[in-house]
Amino acid sequence: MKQFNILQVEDNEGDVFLIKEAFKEAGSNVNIIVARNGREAIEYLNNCAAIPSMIIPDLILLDINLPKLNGHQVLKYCKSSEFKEIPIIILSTSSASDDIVNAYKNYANCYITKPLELVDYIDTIKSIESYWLKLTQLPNSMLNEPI
Amino acid sequence: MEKANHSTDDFERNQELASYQVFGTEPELELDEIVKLASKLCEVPIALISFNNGNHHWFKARLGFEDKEIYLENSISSKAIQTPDEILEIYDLRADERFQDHPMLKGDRNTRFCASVPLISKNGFAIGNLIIVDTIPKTLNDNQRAILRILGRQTMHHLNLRRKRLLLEAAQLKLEEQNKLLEETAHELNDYKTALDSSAIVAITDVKGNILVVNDTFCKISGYSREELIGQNQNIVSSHYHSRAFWNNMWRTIGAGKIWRDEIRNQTKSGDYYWVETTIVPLLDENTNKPIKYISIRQDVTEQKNIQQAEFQSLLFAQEVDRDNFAEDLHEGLAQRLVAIRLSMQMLESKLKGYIPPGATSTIDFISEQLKEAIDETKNLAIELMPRSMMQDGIVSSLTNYLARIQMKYNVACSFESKFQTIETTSKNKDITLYRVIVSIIEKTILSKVIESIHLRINNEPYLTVSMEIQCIPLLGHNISKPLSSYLGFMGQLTKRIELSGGQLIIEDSDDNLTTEIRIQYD
Repeated sequence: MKQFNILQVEDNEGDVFLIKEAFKEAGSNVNIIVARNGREAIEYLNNCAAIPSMIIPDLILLDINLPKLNGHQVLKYCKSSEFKEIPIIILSTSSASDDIVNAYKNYANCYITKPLELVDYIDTIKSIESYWLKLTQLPNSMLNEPI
Repeated sequence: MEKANHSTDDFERNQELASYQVFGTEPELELDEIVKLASKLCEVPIALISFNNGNHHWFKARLGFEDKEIYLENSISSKAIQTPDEILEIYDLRADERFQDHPMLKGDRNTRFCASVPLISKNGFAIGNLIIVDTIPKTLNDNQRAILRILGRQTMHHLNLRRKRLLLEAAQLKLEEQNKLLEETAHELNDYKTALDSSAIVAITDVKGNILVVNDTFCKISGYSREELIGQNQNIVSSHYHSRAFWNNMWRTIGAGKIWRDEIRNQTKSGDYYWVETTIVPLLDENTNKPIKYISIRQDVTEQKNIQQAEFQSLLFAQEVDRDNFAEDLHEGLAQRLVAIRLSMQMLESKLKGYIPPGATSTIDFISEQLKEAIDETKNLAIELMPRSMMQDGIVSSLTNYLARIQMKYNVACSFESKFQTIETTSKNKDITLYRVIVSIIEKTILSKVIESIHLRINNEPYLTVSMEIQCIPLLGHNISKPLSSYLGFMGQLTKRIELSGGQLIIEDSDDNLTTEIRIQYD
């Protein structure tokens, strides 16, 4: 089974744990790289550009409320970097219209509000998995796999 | 001839003499000529005009006599000369016993005949004598006596004229002095005026506030010409910014004749605002002590005011940013952590399905429920700090949520009427200001009173107006509760905040202090 690499930008330990568990439940072969804040995320991508052995993520899961550069700033940076083709999924507790509109204005690929109940949470992660990892073709897979 | 005043009051007589300012003065041509005439016409070698101060006899004019003065120690002879109304004529002094000690007879003086007429002042005092003397005993004929009387009167006439002239001269001198003082005062006043005109905005109004006088500075800052201002009421420059209570206080103060001082926001002809620190001085009627005019002296403090307001505004803004950040930390950080913990626990529960002992399920449910409550409380705290809905849907939904919470928490009957869902015309700043002020007033009331109901209405036609009625229940044993409007420091802050957002805050308590009407309006 093909392994997908996901960069998760999340400061909340609980969410890190939950997402890992939820992907496990969905049954995909997923490798999750965690950045605890905005700066770490940007540093990781910079390293990817500089060091060939680094794993370039297929997908980025980005929280909005983050210490040291918030989600919007990370989004802006990514979408103007050489990795702008990597889809970015915003996963936030905020349902503020400002946050949503701003995210799309900065070219977020989708915006999802974190569910508050476990069933919904797992359903959401399963949906992400089935849509982004199964249904769609990701640009990075083309680059990583020799044709 | 004046009638002699026979009063023995020497003091009054001496005062009278002094008023002529003649004693000890230089000789005068007119009086010298009178003694010449007297000597010629009465055919005597000696003629004198004499004034006496007690027994000191001094001669203002003298002919044929060396001494300028003599002292008459013999009081009888002194009085004898001084008192008669008519001519005193002595044929031969040497033959008259009364005059044996007379100094005129002393030494080599060969005085025999003597005649004198008293000089009677306007007030009837004999202030001196016209005296003729001869070295031989003689008698005057009727002609000569008449001439002597006439000459006595002429002397007095001259003295009277002389006194008048002196008085006039003195008066003139005094007038000149006063004139000089007046000129100096006028000059000084003009200096003050120049200084005031160049530094302050000055206007004089009548008691109704109609402008009588304005200076150039007033015209310049207001943008009106003098012609446009004179005769107009001074509220021509009013910006309709201050409350009725503010103006009532001003009129009450100056109406009572007291000086009033405060900062006023005025408006120029073109509609711009300017702030003036204003002092109004009432000019009072001397008799009634009531104001007849008002002088207002204003200083342009627009710049300071703007800086002050900007500082206050940036402080408020910083406060709001802090609250927003903290609320976000609570909502997105802490609350989200709790959510994740709860979800993880549920996950654990589902993984252990079938292995959980029967007693443990209720414990897990209890923990889950407690976590849910903690999450809700954290989120509510965040909302109280900064309503999330404020950022999304504006003030109306934020207030709806707030009143719902108050209704739940304190069992207060709340009603909220709004003609619209969002205030299209207002800024987020205005929304937050209104929200904060309304919440502050309710919270303050909750602290000091028991609220029964709150009625809130927001209208935006024609102007944005918020009106709120807070009805309280009387506290047992606390019949007299403090009126809300008396919390001056607190209200001052709120008033300032509303003013900064361009509105006006009015708070009125009912007589029993149980009902408070709050109005916030923008125009």
